[in-house]
Amino acid sequence: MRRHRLGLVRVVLTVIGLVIAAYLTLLHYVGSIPLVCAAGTVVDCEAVLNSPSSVVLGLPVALWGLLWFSVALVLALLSGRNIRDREARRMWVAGFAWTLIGTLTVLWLVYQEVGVIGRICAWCTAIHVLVLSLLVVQVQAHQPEGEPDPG
Amino acid sequence: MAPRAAQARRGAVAQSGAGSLTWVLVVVAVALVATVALAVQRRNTVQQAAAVTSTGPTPVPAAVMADFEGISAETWTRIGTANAAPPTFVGDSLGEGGKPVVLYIGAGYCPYCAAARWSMIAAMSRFGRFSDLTYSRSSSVDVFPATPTFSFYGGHYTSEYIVFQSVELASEVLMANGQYQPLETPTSTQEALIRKYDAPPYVAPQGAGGIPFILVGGRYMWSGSPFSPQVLANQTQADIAATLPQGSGPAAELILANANVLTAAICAVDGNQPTDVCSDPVIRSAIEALPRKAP
Repeated sequence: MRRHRLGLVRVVLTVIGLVIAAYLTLLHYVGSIPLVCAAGTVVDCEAVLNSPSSVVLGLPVALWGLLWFSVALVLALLSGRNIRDREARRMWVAGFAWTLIGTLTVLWLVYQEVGVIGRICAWCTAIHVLVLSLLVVQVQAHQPEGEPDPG
Repeated sequence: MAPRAAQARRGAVAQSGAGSLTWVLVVVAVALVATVALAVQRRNTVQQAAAVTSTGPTPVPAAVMADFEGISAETWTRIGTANAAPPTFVGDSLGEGGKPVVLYIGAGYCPYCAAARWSMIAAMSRFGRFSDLTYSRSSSVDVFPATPTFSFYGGHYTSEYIVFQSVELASEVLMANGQYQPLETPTSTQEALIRKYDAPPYVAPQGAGGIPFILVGGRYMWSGSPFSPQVLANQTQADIAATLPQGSGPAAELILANANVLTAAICAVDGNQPTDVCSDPVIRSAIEALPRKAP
């Protein structure tokens, strides 16, 4: 039961992340879509989303985020199924590794925003919070070897 | 007793499960704080370095100005207005001495102003002549750092057809107090125009008060960057200017396409003079495409 409940939370968080990442990706590729974000000396999505740091390996960071949340959603859905404990643990390890990768990326992105660009993107911050929340949920879902789902 | 014992065990397992990995969350929290601290420290270091390494203005060589003035009619026609930012119709009028005024409000630190100046110089060189311009780069600690451009501060412009009013609010030099060095202040008339037109409904609420603010004859207005300054990155002014006469490369294409639209707006307010510029089919077509209604 507990595994399913946490799985549901993961699904909800990843779907929200997918929607935001899809919006930011569309913004990058379709110029006519309006950017709903304040523009000031601290929060300025346009400055962040148009900065050199917003493109990695030729693709916008938003698209990498979309791919990351897609994989996270698949892992969340697979973890939520009725599966045997051993398989559930494998899924947990995969999810944990994936959220760790996401967390490290968030740290790099925060450094770019604060240290290099000097502006904060509100949408990006929402995504960072979602990734960190997913890590917390992933840790909460951890079950040591040999212990059953506490229900 | 049995159900209570099972419940207690479930709680213990739940706690031990998450508890055994709580250190991961602690490490991530510490790493996040350290990342922000490092980033803030880097930002402060770069800002201090920028404050002490600024140099005096360098006059733009005649050869570079000649690149702006030597753009052939064939190049202007071939480039057209693809991907150019259209103005907003505000429907006012602004003139001086019987000539329409092209008003520019910007700042040296602003990378979007840096991009806009390229198109302005290219377009306005078709109506007159700039002199005493200096090389400039946008802030090295802002987005699109050190975008190569020119400064209108201290520069002059003469034209039979239009009057140019430029206000560079601040330079790109960051002072010890963290503010950019102030340069010029808008007149009360210019201030009123910014308050009126650099605000909703003419611009989106989040873009209100943004620079550059360009107003042609009080009728056509641009607020913000006509194109991304990224296209100018890692080049010198001379390198970019050298691509203008032939319109070769992505930077030249964006600069000239936006200059064509700006040219059309000027033609629309100055009685279509000079004829050789304003009767060009590309300009005629761009004039037709200019907005005629305020938002």
